[in-house]
Amino acid sequence: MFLAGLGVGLWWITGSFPNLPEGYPGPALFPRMIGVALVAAAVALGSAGLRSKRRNAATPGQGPAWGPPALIVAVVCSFPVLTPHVGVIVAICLICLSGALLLCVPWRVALLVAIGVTAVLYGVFTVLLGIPLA
Amino acid sequence: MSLFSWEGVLALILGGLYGSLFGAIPGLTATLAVALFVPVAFFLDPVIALPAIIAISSVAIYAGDVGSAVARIPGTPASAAYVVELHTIAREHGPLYGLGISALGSAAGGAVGTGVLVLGATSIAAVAAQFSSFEYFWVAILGLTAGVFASGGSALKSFISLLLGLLLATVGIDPTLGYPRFHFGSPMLLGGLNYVVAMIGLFGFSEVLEHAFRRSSHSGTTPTAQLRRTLHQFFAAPLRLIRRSWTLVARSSFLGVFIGFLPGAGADVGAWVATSAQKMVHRDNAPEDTVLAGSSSNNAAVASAWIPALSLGLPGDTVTAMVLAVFLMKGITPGPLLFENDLVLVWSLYLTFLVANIVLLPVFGYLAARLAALTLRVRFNVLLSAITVICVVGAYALRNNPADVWVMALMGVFAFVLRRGDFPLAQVVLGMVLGPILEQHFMVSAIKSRWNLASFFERPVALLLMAASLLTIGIGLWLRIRSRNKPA
Repeated sequence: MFLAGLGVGLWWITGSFPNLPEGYPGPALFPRMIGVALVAAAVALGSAGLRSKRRNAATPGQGPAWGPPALIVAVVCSFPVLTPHVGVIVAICLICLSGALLLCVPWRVALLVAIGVTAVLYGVFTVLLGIPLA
Repeated sequence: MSLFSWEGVLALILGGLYGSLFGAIPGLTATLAVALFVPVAFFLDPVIALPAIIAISSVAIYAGDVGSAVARIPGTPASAAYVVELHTIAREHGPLYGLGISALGSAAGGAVGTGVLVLGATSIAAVAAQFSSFEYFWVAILGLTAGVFASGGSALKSFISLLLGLLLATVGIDPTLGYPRFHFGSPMLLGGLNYVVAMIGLFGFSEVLEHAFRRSSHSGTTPTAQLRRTLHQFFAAPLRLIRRSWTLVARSSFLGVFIGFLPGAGADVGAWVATSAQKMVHRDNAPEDTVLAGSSSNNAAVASAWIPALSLGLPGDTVTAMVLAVFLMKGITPGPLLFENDLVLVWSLYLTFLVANIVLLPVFGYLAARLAALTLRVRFNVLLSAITVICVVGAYALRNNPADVWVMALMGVFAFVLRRGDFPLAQVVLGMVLGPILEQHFMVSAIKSRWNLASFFERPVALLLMAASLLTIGIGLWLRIRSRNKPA
């Protein structure tokens, strides 16, 4: 459904793209071709899915843990927000510490890892390779 | 000053060390390494500066595999072609064995590429010069069709991954007409999605999310016995493999040479086509063979990308584009006259390719692999937290742009969702690499023929490439039907 929606959406969005003189297709052509192929692939995938659903019994749920990955994404996405306030180095250290805690590393080890990894990254990027992390 | 002066040897060693460090760190590429070296090259004699660039690029392309082996983060788009296989080998047999295959495969491919560069630079460049936008379009189609059937899983899911990669490649300014697409008002997206940032998210960050989701805590340690026999793991066992699979190495290297000398194609496309061909034809092949195919073809392409650069003054890839800038800075004009007027420089370049591939690459490769093996002994969740922050810094350091971290995270989530549905990730990168080539050459060909689409089938080489694409589809479908009908 998502793929088919994406394909139809592409066709709709690219409707505002200009055409070349004499009515030849312009920048919309390639995304539209991808959109059509996505809709076709979505239909094929859907029908294959229906066939296999009829053949196989429903598989039991795996008890997914959505919390940790969602929190890790939130921590990583906070980097651009943190950087102007605390600087790149402190932001790196904080992200490493939070990531380690979310991955169930004991807090003392997490603190050591955060400081160590930050120091190594600073040494390699800024001191050794001359790439400023600022 | 000559290449064999102490300054020349020092430049090669430092170039190799610098290249291995750059290639091994996710987010830093061979191109960036050379770009940062260009201001230094300005103050050096060309006989020293140009060999240093060769050492940097040859070793950095190999070192891109270190991230693949340790953390499933490919350092270059070329490494992404066999990242899953290399990571599997590193997990099962230790990184020294996986990186040994990659280093010695790269060395063999680089030596073949150098041989072709020495023997046929001028004549091969003349063939490459005959390629027009029609042939490039069919080369891209060939790469895409091989990519669909290369995946071990469902061809339909590979096709969808490829379409999503092609779609991601349309973000930014349209390569032919200059019209901005899907940038959502962000000036950063006008330049398109950066491959390296996307790859860090697709392969590195998604790995962290996957493990956090499954709450896996396997140690991932390398058995001590494997670490003790490091020389055997890195040199002897891969050499035996290369001796056994020499036809595969030769085939992939020549494929890399062929693709590398096409201006604009380079090592990335070379590695993708060679691994796709290998996986498609040998459906139950060992991961070692896939790594061997990809690593030998990408370093062969690194050498052959210099063929059009030296003999025609056309860049084969971004590194040789910068090399041409260094040539011009030094007042050297590449082309046929270079072979008459500056033979010392030409021969020192040839020799450097041999030294870089046969000496520097295995030596620095071994050191990098030892470091990688030590890294894998760290507790897995500690390693994952380090990978998380390396993904952040790798994405940020490329352009010092904090918003790249959001793009990386978004790509990570996107890859995580794809992995949940068993969609292959490598095909997404293939679509991103070949998408702009495909679109640009399709549009240029269509516009110059005034939309007479029959012109795509008129030139002999284009027809040959189209036949190869159809043959690829035919063989791919036949192999799939045969494996489906095979009794279990």
